[in-house]
Amino acid sequence: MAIIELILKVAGLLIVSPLFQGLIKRLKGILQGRKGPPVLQPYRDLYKYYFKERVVSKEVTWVFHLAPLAAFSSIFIAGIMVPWVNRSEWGFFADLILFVYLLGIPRFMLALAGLDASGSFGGMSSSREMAVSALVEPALFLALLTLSLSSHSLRLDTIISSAKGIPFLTPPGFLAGLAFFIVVIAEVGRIPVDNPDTHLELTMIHEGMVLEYSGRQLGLLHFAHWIKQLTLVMLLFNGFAPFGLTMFTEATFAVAATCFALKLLIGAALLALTESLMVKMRLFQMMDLLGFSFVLSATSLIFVATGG
Amino acid sequence: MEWHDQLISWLGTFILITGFLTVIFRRFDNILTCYKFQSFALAFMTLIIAHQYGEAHLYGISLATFIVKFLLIPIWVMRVIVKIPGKLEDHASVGAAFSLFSAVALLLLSYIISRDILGINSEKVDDLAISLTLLLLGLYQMMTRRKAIIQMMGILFMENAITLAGITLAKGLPTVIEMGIIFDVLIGILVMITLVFRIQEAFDSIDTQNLKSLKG
Repeated sequence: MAIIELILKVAGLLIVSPLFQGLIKRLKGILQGRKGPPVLQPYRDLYKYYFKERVVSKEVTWVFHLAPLAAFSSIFIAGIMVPWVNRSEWGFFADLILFVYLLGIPRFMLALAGLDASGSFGGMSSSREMAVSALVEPALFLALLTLSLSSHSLRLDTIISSAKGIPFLTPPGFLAGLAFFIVVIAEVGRIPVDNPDTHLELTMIHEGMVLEYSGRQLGLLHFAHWIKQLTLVMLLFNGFAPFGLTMFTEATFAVAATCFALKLLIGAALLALTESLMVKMRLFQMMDLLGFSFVLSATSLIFVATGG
Repeated sequence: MEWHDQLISWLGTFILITGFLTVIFRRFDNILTCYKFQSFALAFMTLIIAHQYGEAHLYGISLATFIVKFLLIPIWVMRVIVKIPGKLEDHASVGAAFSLFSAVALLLLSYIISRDILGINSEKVDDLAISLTLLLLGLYQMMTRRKAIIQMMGILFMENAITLAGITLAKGLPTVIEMGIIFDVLIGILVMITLVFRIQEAFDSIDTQNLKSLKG
């Protein structure tokens, strides 16, 4: 049974994550009064990247070639950890601390790769990414720790299955959820923090680090980014507002799958809406926002730790 | 939990968030908006507590808080502020990230202190800790900000914190004292605004750093 589950999850990650990206882009287009690209566009992009010619700077070392693989594989493993429809899934390795560090590996590798190609934009973006992640990572960790403290477990599946009611509707859960939402936006590089649609040298963070990549490697990096986006949004839902979760073997599986589709839609709408309503922040103002998210999650942790 | 208590803990959280936001914001009008919302939440909280315990005099205090702190003070301060030329953007003498980490440290400190005072199992630990944090944040504002007008807001936030502690821990002080405090704030603001004006006239700026320079 577990092996079927695993196969389904792997296939799901590969199939759904480009769809989610397409959904966000389409919704964003509609919200901005455009038609927006077709929902299936990311699949076509991946197909295009697969056959595109690769141009690699002759200055690069092995780090440059390793980075996309390392980024993709660690994000992929982190993606498998987060339950979508099941109450318990991969409990034996879905460790919270491991999850946070699996998200840290791609950041580290990409920052190195950005420096490796010795382009000026790459280095600049690497340093920015490090500055952002220095504030994002503790906020992410503390927000998840709030959940783990109320369920007395570090395993993601136990945290999710033992949640009483909806954590988002209690004061500490609300604070942690808000902090986690800011973290999600920063991690997926969306508008108040980073603009995914532009290559304007003054603003880009994530795009700058992958600027030197082309062809299959670029496709792989985009794919990894989409998987990370889907994973974090699912963690936001199932961690802070779990509904419609079931076991793989139960009869209510169809309901849970419908709830999953609903979560995808709501998540895409949420991201598209924030991206349409907000403006890009100045780099130094951004530190305030990310610091605020850290404060929120720390406050929530203190609430939970003292109040119980 | 009863809905009174639930609503009170939500309002307490909201008040705490507005307290943290004052540390982040640099522009004066944002800080004033924070003060407005905080005072509104405070008035609402007083109303809930009045209803919960049937304390008649708290209704009056709630109304007075609403009128004075939500309407009178912000309008008054805003009317004066437009007469001060120049940008009212204030860069604190410490960085934003440092301020935020200090804010968390102050919250932690308040929790430790209130647990020591009330005992670990007391239900009022949260309330006391939030009030104490707001008090310390107000003090922090006064220490780190440079513009006199924002230092003045620090005093207002501290006063809010004391009122909060009063209504949550002791179900309000006697009416005479509460009214006295509110009038005290009103008079205090009058004096402080006058002082800010005098600083502006004498030094052409409300930056308190300039107060060190000698005038002939």
